[in-house]
Amino acid sequence: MKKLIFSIAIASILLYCLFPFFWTIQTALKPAGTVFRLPVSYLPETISLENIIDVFSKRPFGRYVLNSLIAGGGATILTLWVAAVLSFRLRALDLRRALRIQRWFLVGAILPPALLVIPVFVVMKQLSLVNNYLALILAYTALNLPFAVWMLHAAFRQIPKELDEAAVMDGFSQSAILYRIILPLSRPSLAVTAVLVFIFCWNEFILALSLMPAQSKYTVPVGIALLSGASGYEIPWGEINAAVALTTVPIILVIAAFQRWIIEGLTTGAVKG
Amino acid sequence: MAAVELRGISKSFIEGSFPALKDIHLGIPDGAFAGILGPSGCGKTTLLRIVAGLERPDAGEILIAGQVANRIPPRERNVAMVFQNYALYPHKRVYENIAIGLQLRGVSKERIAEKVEAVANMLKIETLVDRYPKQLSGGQQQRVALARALVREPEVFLLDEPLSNLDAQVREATRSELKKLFRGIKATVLYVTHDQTEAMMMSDYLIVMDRGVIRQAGEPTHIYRDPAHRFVAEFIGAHRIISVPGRLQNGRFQSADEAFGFDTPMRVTSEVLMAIRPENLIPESQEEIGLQGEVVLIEPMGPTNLISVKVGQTEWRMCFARRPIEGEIMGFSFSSSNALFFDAKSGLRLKPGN
Repeated sequence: MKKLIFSIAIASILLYCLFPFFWTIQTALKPAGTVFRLPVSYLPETISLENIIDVFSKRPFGRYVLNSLIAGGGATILTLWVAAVLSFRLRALDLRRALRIQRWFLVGAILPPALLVIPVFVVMKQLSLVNNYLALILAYTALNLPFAVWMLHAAFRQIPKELDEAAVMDGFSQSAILYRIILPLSRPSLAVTAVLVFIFCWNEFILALSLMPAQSKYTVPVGIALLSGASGYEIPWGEINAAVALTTVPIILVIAAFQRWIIEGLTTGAVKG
Repeated sequence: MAAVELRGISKSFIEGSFPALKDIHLGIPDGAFAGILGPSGCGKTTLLRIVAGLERPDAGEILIAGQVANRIPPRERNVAMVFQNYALYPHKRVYENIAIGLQLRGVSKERIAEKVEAVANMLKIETLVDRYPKQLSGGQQQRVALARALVREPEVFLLDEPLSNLDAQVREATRSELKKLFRGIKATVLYVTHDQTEAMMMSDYLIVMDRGVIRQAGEPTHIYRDPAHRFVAEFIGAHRIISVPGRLQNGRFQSADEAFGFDTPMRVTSEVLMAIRPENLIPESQEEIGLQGEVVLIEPMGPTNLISVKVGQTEWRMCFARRPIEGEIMGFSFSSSNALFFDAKSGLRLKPGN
C-alpha cells in the first residue's frame, strides 16, 4: 500500500515536471497550421519536421547553437581551470583559513546576474569586447567561479595530503601534482561541476542579450526569444518550440556522456562525510 | 661517516606552543637500520619529515651524506620515504606507481623496465604490476610502497610506521623480511615506530624520543640494560618496568612506603625512583633482597604467567611458570645490582660513580 502511494506520488511529480517538456516537443512536431487547432490534440496525428527544418533553413539557428557552444564551452573550460588552480591553493591552507577565504567568493555568488548587467556591459565596452565571445566567457567564468571553487575545493580536500607528499618525494612539481594526481582523482566532481556550469551558460539570457547585441552573435536563448514572425503580430509558436526542444539536446547529451561520473560525484560526498 | 646528521634541529608548529622538536643532535651511522621510537606526539614523525624535506626546521642543520641539505628540495635530497598509509597513486597501476619517480628523473624507458622488474622480483610482487592499488591487500600495497622507495636506490630510506596498518600476523612476517631486505642492500634506514618490540628487534641503532627530545640513542641492547632516563626504562622492555619511589641516603635505599630497604653502592642523597625489570625478579627464592606479598593478579601468557604481587604500595610483576592462587602470600627476591635509580625530579639515571 505504502509502495503504491509512493509510486503514484513519484508519477505525479514526474508528470508535473515533464509535461511542459512533452508539450514543447509535441508542438514542435505538429505541422505549422495545426498548432492552434481546437480541440487540443495531445498527440500529434501527423508528425512533421517542418518546424525543425524551418528553424535551420529560414533562421540562423545553427549559428546560435555554435555561438552558445563557443561561449558556454569556453566559459566551462576556463571556469574549471581557474577553479582548479584556486582550489589547489586553498587546499594547501589549513581548513579554517581556506573556508574564510572561500566565504568571500560566495559573496560574489549572492548577487543576481541581472544586477551586474550594466556594470559588466560598461566594462566590456571599455575593453572593446562587446560582440566578442571573450566578453561572455569572462562574465560567465566570474559568475560560476564561486560555485566551482566550492565544489572542487571540497573534492580536493578528500584526497589525502600524503599523496602530495609522496609525489613531492617522487619528484613531481606542484603543477604536476595538480594536473597528474589531483585532477584525475577528482574526475567525478569535475564532471558534475562542468555539467552544471555548462547548463548555466547554455540557459543564460540577460548577459548574452546585452553583451552580444549583433544578430550573428546571438546565443540560443536570445535567438529563441527574438524569433519573430512575418509581422509583429505573428508569433511563430511552432518554430519556437522546435528551437526550445533542440536546445535541450546538447544538455541531455552532456549529462548522458558524464552520467557515471555525475552519479559518483553526487554520492561520494555522502558516503565519506 | 654519518649518513644523516642533525645539528640543533628545533621545530614548533604553532608560535609559542609546545615545541615538536627541541635542539635535536643526532648522527645516524652509514648503513645502519636506525629505529626512532617514542609515544605518539613525541616528534618522531616530525623528525623524519624534516629529514625528508617535507617540513622545514625552525633552527639547525640537516646533513645528508655530509652535505647540508636544509635548502635542497625533497626531490633532490636522494631520500625515499614509505608512508604509514602507503600513499600509492590510486589512478595508476602498480608498475607506474613504482616507475614514476624514475620517469620524472628522466631515466630511459628500458632502464626503468629493468629496475622495476628487479625490485618487483625482490619483493615478490611481479605478478601484481598490472593491477591498481585498490585491488591489492594491505600487505601487497605495503610492498608496492616499499618498491617505489627501493627502485630509486636512495642514500637514505625513511619509513614512517610502515607496519602499523598490517594485521598482527602479516606484520611479524614483514618485520623479519624488512630487516633482511635492508641488511642485504646495506642501506641506511630511518624507521619510525611506537612499538618498542619492533624497534628493539629491527634496529642496529635505536633513538628513544619523548616530548620533542632524544632521551637516549645507541645500540638497543645497551639501551635496554643501561637506560639513561626514567622514560627510557619505562618505555623499553617486553614487560613494564617496576618502579618504587623512595629515598637514597648514606648508601641505603628506603622505599617511600617503608615496605623495604637495602644497601647500595650509591653515594648520592636524593629522592629517587628505584626501578627493576620483571625478568630480574626471581619468584619463590631468597637471594640478596627478599620480599613477600599477596598475589593480586594472574595473567596467563601460555608458557608462563605474569604474576602481580603487592608489597606496600607497589605491585611487583614477574614471570612465573607455576600458577599460584590469587590471595596467596608469595615470596620473591632480586639482586641489588639489577636495581636502577632515577632522580625523582629530573628522571635522569643515577649511577654509583656520581
